[in-house]
Amino acid sequence: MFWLALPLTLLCFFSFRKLYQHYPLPLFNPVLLSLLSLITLLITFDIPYADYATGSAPLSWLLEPAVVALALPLYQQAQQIRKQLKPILFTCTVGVASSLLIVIPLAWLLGADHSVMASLAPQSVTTPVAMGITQSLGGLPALTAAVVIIVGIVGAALGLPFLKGIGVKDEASQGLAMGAAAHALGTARAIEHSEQHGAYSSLALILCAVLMAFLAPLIFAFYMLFLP
Amino acid sequence: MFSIVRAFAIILLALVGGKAVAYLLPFNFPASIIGMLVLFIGFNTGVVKVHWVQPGAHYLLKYMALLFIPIGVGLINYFDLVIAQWPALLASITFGTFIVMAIVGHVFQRINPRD
Repeated sequence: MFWLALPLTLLCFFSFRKLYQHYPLPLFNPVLLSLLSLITLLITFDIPYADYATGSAPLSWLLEPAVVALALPLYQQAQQIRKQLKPILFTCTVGVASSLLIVIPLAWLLGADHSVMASLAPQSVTTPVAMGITQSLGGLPALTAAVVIIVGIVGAALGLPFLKGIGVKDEASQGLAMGAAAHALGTARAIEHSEQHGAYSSLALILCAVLMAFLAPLIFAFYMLFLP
Repeated sequence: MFSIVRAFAIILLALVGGKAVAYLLPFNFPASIIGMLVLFIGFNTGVVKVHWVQPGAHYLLKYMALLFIPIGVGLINYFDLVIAQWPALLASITFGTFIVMAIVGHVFQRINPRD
């Protein structure tokens, strides 16, 4: 299995990506389908996860460089939307803080333990960043990865009709909300809708990730003072 | 080929810088985010040119989704946890997402300076 892990992962991802390009339904999300198939495969053939993880490690090594590469779209977007940078920064800060303030106590009320709360806290930001934050909070990066992907799928699928339904009519606000709540998958959906949507959404995606890295440890530590 | 190697070299250099800073910080902070800020500062000061990084960054960003599949498959080790704590997971995914979306959308719609 060791030497098959990488080619199998690539095969899954690129075939499901093809499928998604032909039928862009939210449920055909390539990451979701790849995860489901690979997990099924591992269970069916009774392969230990550690073997698969060793074989597919080169992909995981590239996660951190990919986060660094986000500097490029951040720089390009910041140039374009310079005038609105302050209100955007303010809005993203409010968004990230409210996500943390809501998600942590809600999970606690419903019986989540410490590691699950730490895994859920950064759920609204892009996967590689969220996993890094989870790790520093003492959570489970794999659980975070799954949660973040589901958040992205839900947000991308229902985000725009939801926003219109609650009276957010402005294109820039819609784009920002998609990026802030549903990270890369929301952004991908926003780009399909329009260029302007995409620009705001990817700016929110990156700013929220940075803000989350700062705010999550603070708010998490604050809650841990009160929640047993 | 040279342009891709150069792009990856710059990205890795920024990441190493980020790791060094993260190591010196008195608290836990994702080194990759610091690396991103290092590169962002590099662009803004003109030390790093956008077209030096573009060829490598393009591929990393385009196929970013692929990169977290191996770690996501690790969920296989936490099935018991998911089954035991599904109400918290479900509530936080749904409520968290829509509340954040509503707040961000409405706040920006109110304060956005339109011309």
